Amino acid sequence: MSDLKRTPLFPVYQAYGAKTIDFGGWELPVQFSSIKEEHEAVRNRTGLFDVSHMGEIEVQGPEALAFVQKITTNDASKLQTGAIQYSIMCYENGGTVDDLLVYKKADDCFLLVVNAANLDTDFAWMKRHLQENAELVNVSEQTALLAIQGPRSEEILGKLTDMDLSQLKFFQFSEVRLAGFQVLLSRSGYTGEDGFEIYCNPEDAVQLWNKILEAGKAEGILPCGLGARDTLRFEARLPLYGQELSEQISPLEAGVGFAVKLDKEVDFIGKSALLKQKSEGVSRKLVGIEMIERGIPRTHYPVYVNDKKIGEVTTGTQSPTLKKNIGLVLVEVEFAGIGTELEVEIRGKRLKAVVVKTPFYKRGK
Amino acid sequence: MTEKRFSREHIWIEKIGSRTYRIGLTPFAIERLGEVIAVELPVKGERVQAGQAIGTVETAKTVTDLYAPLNGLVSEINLRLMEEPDLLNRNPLDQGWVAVLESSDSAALWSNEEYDTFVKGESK
Repeated sequence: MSDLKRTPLFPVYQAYGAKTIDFGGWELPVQFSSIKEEHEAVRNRTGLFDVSHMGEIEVQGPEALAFVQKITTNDASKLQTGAIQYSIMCYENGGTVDDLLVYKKADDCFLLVVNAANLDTDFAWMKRHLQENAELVNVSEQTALLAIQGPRSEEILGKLTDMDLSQLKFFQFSEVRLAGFQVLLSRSGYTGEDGFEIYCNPEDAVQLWNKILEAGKAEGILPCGLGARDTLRFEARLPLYGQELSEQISPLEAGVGFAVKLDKEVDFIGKSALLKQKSEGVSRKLVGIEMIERGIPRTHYPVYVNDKKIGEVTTGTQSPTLKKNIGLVLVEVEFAGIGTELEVEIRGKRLKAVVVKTPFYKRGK
Repeated sequence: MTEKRFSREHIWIEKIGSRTYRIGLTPFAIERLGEVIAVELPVKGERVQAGQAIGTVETAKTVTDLYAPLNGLVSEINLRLMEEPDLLNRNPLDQGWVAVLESSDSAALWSNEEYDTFVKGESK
């Protein structure tokens, strides 16, 4: 596994018992203790993730906003400085380049956080559409990213900063000193729980990691890997690029239409295709299923109704919270209604499942 | 009880009768997989060939095939694994057994030492 990229936290993985895997060219921890324990820690207490592999691109200059508006589907003109927006980049045909977070740092500066596996594609795509008076800087290598997720996160981080964290609302961010280090702290995450993401200098990442784990000992914090990150985001129905979203799947089909503002004042790439999809109605839709017969749905397993293939599974597993075998499936829209019975083909056998409401898990207020 | 033998697909084999062998997954394989959340057992009464996929073991993230270590007939399966798949994690060498095969093969498989050497090579 020598050609794989490593994050600044790689040297501490071993000490915490990590099992690493190749994840899109990165050697990352799939788990530290166990996926189930880590998953439960985040739902009930708190977990700490290394997500330094994520890509960060800054857009700077007087036309920064105009550029962001052109390449993303959400309306970045509505963003206040210090706020974050979930958004999508689309191709002209409405397929998805990537999903991302847009941070407004200033009127002339936005930070775009993209999927690690898509960083090169995204950067090339952005460059191709770059206009005058806007500049792109790939700051991924200069940025490490930790995510602290779960109901006790605020309490734990509060021990390491003077800032009153209750003032930082969901999808807001601020420059703060945390455990003596300057970081960009954002109230956000990918687990369906409350939590924070911490953008820091790569040189500070190991110390921050250790200090946060130390500070959270009494609250039962656990270091967590990508395995739990995936089961957590899946229960909360947060899409994963390559599964729920792809070049072949539009944001309207994937159910993230809330991030597509067809009425925003300026045109954006993919608008006419998405407008057409919206007015004609999408032909496929992403819905949740629960297995009736014993079996676990997995990515790309075909889905049938009356011997006709009507779609496929995008993600599936046994939900650690619900202990049920559940999945997200992209199916023809006429079979997307709650209560519809369908069959998932699992290793040659067609097993009964039913369309259910999503998200599978929603945190209590 | 005789000493266990091992296959390169991480199956242990224990001779329990003149032509019967109990099989299961090695602790090394289980440790590598992580928590097992579901098991698809071999089919009782089915004839299997050595190297054939006869079942699966699933974790939150993975689906892994189980390979028959011998030619033979599946004469018993461990139904307890259907309700308690984590027996594979808790007790892989005994209560977490997977199936019993009837076979006239003479199980020319690895000894514990030979398997250990193989596993060390694989972990590098």
